[in-house]
Amino acid sequence: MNKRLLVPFFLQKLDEKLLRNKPNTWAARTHLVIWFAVLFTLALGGFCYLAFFDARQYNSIGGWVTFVSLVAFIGFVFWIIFLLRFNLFKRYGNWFMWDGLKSFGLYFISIGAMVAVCFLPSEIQMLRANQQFGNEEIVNDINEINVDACKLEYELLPLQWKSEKYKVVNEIHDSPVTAEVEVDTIGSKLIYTDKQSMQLIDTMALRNKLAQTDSVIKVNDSIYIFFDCPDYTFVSSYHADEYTHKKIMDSKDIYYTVIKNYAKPDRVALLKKMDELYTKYATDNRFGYNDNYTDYNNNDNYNTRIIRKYKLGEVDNGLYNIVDKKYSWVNSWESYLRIFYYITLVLTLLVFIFRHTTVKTFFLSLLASVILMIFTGLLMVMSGGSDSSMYSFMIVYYVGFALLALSINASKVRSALQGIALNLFLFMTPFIPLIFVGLNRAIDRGSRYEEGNYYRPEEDKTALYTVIAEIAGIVILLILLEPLFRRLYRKWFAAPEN
Amino acid sequence: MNTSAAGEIASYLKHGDYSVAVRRTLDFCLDTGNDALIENTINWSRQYHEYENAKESKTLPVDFVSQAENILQQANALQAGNNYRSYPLISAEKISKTYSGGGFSLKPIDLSIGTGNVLGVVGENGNGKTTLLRCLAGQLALDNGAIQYHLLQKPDSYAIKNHIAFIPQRIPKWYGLLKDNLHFSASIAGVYGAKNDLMVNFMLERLNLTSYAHLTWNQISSGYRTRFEIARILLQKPRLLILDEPLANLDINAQQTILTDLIFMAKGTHNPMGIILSSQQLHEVEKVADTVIFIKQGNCLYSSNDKEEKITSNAVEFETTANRDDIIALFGEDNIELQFNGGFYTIVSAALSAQEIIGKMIAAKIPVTYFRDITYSTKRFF
Repeated sequence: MNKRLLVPFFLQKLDEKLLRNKPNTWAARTHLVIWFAVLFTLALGGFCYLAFFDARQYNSIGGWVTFVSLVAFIGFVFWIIFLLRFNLFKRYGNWFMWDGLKSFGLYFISIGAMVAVCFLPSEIQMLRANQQFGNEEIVNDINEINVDACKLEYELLPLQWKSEKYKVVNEIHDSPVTAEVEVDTIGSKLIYTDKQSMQLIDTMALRNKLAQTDSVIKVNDSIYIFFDCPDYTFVSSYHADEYTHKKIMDSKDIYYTVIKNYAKPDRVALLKKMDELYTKYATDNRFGYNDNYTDYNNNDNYNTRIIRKYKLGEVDNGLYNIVDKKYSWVNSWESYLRIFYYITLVLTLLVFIFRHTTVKTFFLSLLASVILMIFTGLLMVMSGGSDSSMYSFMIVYYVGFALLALSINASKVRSALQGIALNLFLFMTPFIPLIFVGLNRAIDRGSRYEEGNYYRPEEDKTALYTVIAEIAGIVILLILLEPLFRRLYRKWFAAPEN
Repeated sequence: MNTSAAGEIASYLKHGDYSVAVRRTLDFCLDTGNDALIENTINWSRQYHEYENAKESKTLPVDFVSQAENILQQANALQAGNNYRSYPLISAEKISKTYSGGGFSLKPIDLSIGTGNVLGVVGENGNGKTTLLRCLAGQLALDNGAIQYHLLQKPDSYAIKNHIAFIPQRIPKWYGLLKDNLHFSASIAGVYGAKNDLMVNFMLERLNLTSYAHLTWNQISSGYRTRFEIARILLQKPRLLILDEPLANLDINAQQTILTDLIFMAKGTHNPMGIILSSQQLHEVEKVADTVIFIKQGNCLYSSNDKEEKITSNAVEFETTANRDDIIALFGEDNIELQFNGGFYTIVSAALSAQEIIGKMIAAKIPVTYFRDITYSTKRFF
């Protein structure tokens, strides 16, 4: 028996069985890739689990991902070396329907397993952060720190809210954005002179301002006075309360809870609590954030004085790092899924093409695609082309490749040009629906801009169409893979040369 | 193969020609299609190869011959009525090929081959042998003419290449273990499971490669590479085997062995096939080929099929320590053509046969160290 390092007996038996019964499956070596991916995942997972023992430390996942990606790449190269040794198609072995689809699936799984391990450190880091700190716990502690700091340093806090007056206009074209405005309505507690200097605001900005302000008085239909509470938050975290029942208290909440009806606190108990929370969260280790300490040290306003006194900058660092890790996947899983999918798909397509074409034609195809990209770029630069013309070019190329590839059916000799066209035809197919979505969006945007409308319509369904196009692309590819692409490859590859 | 083959094998065993007996017995048993018997024969063959590979320290089992007789008896019973029958494989009509770059042309050639037939293609280097073979293998597009594949109905190029195996002069490198390559080749040809093991073991024994199977390509000599390539190709069960200069990397004994083995396997009922081979080893090829064609500058100058029509004189080549004048003096009145190429003398004579020529030389006490009748050999065209 052929002994392989770290491969258990049952897998060696499976390997032998596949070699003698399923040559195409055996040649893909997916069973070995999955086994080594599992081994690597266990080893790396265990190592990461131990390494990520302190969720307060800054997020160093970039380095980890780079390291694991390099290891995965080495694994990929090894796999390719093994994969290229045996090729049923190029040996003109017995032809079975669906072998192409099966091979594509096996390549996708193998490459997917190698790409997936690159995400492992990030997953373990998230898992560890969630194990160490609960979602509600963090929100409670942030509120506790801010409230306690306000209670302890009440004398330092500003109590006056900042006010700003705005006049609503239909459009703001250029500066100045302030104007002298006649006020003919007087608010109940506010006295105005006849002319007021006010900032101009358009309706869209008004909508945003209304959503963000702590308080507002509508003087009349076009004049608003906005009030903003002084900042009573010393530590915070952007995503921390996104998925919790309890929310992080903003300055206004703190004002109404602590400041407005201030009562003298038990300072000893509060200081003890602040100490405990400092120990729990503080770290001076926050990647790329150290510059802010200069501001804290140089400024002498109430905020920085309180932050400096209770070392809340370090607490904020810890909170930032923890929340960053806890929610690293929650808000990005779609992006991660797309990264995983597209890397895997592109590599799978390249491997599939390489397995069905000659080495020369494969590299000529890569060269041709680079030359076409340069050519298209030049054309667009020279003609001042827009997004839509770029998408149009791609569709024209695709049609050209398809026609050339289909001409293989009528050809009696193997031509490199047809081979290149077939390779590029196959490669572009899963992306064609996306190109059409892009074209549609570019045309739509172009026509809106021509009408002077620069806002994306609310009923914009680009995201939905993108997902549909992504799914449609791979479905079309899989449907055409066996009856069209593989048949063309069969005809082209086996044809005699001139 | 039939009862006469069993008798032939028995004769080899009787006279101690074990090597050829083992090979013939393996072929004989393969044709029975009986897996248990083939397995037994493989095990029996292993005993011989273990002995052969370690002659000094090992002896053949005492019942070696009786085991063989037992195997032959069983095979004979299973072979009853299993007679070999030849059928046509391909016919090429007026096929020609011209390279656009070099200007070389292969002029129109007709040929046909059936199962069990061997077609030898001979000629000097660069005269179109490989071009002809590649055309027949479907690797080069024809300019004119057509090739008919009798066993395939409306074949595409893939089916043709599945049907025909081509072993080039420079065999592409194998990767991985040699045995894995053999298992893979068998399974892509539809030989699965236990049968796959059986056939691989059979082929390893048949070509005496068992002790090299666990090695890699870089660990074996070029001669063994040729043998492994032949084993691999045979496991894919081609109907037509095309070999371009297969003897180039083989020693003199291996050349004889491989050629005769191929002929026997081609005529077997297990996978009857046709063989086309090109070679510079004229005599070896002529010994085994049913038809020999000679190609010069792209033209088929001679085919042994129509030798009776074209040959009007006898020709011999010989080597002697006598000087030229003695030879001329001996054949002076016989109207011969005498040529010396630096190594051999060649005599062409319409009147004297080869037997008469050597008879005269012996009678004249001219020392002859080498003599060959090349009347029907392509050698006379070189």
